[in-house]
Amino acid sequence: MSEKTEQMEDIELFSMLRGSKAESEKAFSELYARHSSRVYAYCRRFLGNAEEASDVFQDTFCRFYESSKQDREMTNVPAYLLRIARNLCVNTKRGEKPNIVFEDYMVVKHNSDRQDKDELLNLIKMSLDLLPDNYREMFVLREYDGLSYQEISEVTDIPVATVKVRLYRAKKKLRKILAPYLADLSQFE
Amino acid sequence: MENYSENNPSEMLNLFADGELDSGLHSSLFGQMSESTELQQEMSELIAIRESVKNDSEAFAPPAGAKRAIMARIGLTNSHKVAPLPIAGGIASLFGWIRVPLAFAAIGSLMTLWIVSSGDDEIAIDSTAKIPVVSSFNTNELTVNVPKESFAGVITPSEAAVDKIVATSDGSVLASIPVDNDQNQFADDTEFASPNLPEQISMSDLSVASAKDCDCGSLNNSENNIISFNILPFAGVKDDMSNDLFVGESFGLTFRMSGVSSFSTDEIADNDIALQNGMNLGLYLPATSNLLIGIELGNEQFSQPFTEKKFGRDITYKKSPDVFWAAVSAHYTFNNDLILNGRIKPFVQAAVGGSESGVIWKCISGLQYNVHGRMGASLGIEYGGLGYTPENSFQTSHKIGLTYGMYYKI
Repeated sequence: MSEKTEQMEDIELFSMLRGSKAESEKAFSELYARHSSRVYAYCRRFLGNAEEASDVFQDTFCRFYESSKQDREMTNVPAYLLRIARNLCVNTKRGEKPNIVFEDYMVVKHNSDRQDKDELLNLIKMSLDLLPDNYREMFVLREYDGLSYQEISEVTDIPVATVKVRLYRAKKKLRKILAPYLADLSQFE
Repeated sequence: MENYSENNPSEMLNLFADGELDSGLHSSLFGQMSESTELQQEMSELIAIRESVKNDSEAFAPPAGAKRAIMARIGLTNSHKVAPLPIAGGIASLFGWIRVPLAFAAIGSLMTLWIVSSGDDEIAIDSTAKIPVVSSFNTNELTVNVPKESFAGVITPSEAAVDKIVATSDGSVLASIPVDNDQNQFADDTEFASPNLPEQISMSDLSVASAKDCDCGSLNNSENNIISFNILPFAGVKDDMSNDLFVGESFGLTFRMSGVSSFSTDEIADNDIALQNGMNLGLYLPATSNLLIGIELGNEQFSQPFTEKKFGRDITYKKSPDVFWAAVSAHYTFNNDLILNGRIKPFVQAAVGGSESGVIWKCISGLQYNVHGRMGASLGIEYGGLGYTPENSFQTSHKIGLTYGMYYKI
């Protein structure tokens, strides 16, 4: 193999997964390096639980590799990975109950140091858990994974218009939860 | 379903922030924003949220062992191959980095040896060698010439403690004999440096005849042997007869400080490199007259950057924590009497040990100055390296700078 895997396109690497073990290993390692962060970010922030996120994350890449052995045309590797991750996350979500209430957030908010630079991020993470799953998913795909509305639509199989609405509402709800902090933040700026 | 209209300024603003607003609507949005503090506030909040999300490193970092577990599950690699010992790569990396300071030390050593050996007729002998004077020449009567000009402006012969005298037996046979304070009788005979030290001294006056149990072999390789002794530039200090560090069976303490700075690397920009101070204590014992072996305990800052690929970007974490370390150290002093008559000598030192962050290693090269028989100071260049393992990957950090300190013989 003359060309380095770092210089190859996702689709070429996906094809290499069907090759010899050595080729597969190189291709998989490269694809993992390129996309593991966004897949894990989706799992981590959508599920909100590190342990579940880790399990789903691993399952995602295992299924991805298994699917490469099938005769399938691949056009968008990251979107495909996120679709697998999403299906697994949704299945995981179905079996659990929400365990964080709004009061939890408020307690943390008032005990926090307003000057702390990480404060807003911590609040966002907690606030994400308060969002409905379908809103949170939109927010994560947009803000964490950097997908366009069209890409989100493809990953989630919902119309772009619905993506727009859910994303808007997700951000609006998030800002509402964060309002006391954001108001204080603007005073300090 | 939801009452959503893209004509709503707030919704337009969200679309704009996401790069999804039709360009034809930009001017309309900007016009409304200029008149509405609420919209401006909303925009700043959206930006603040986005910037915060970018810093959510926890979300972008898959668990450390995840890749290994996945590859084992899909059978892409054997377990021992998936989890290579970091030490293998670490050693390769270590050698890659220390070859420069090692080469520096080697070149310095060779230059020093060349300087020392450039004295054609003098044979370097370590100062603890027994004195092979009389027996090698089969005479008890040698004429000793004192080259007074070599001390001009420093001492007068009447004040000198004798340490270096060039002596000849009959003007043609010479040998080089450094003097050891503890093992020859010159130390007890400094009185012979009488107020009127003559240019010609009878060797019998020096009471060297008793040193017959000497090792003479090293003196027989020159036709023009030179007998040389060291005369200290300080009068009346017998202990100063020894210029070497911790000669004999005593042990010594060292205290050394350093002011060093990390190498500029891909992960450490030039403007991130601050001077990092350190200090350490050492305890040494002599292995040979030139080589000391000991341990050193130290504390210093070490940059420990770590870069990983996240979300298609390289994200670098930087920290420079205090590191406590312990190391086994070897200190080699070169025989060189050319600088201040042997009071300043070059040395090299290497240390390898461990710290709370990982393996640590150091190479030092410099000069040591014997202030007094028991005390001295050193100044040199120090290279230090640290191997650490963030996220189970072996990384190295390197720094170089000045080191200075003092030693004391107990």
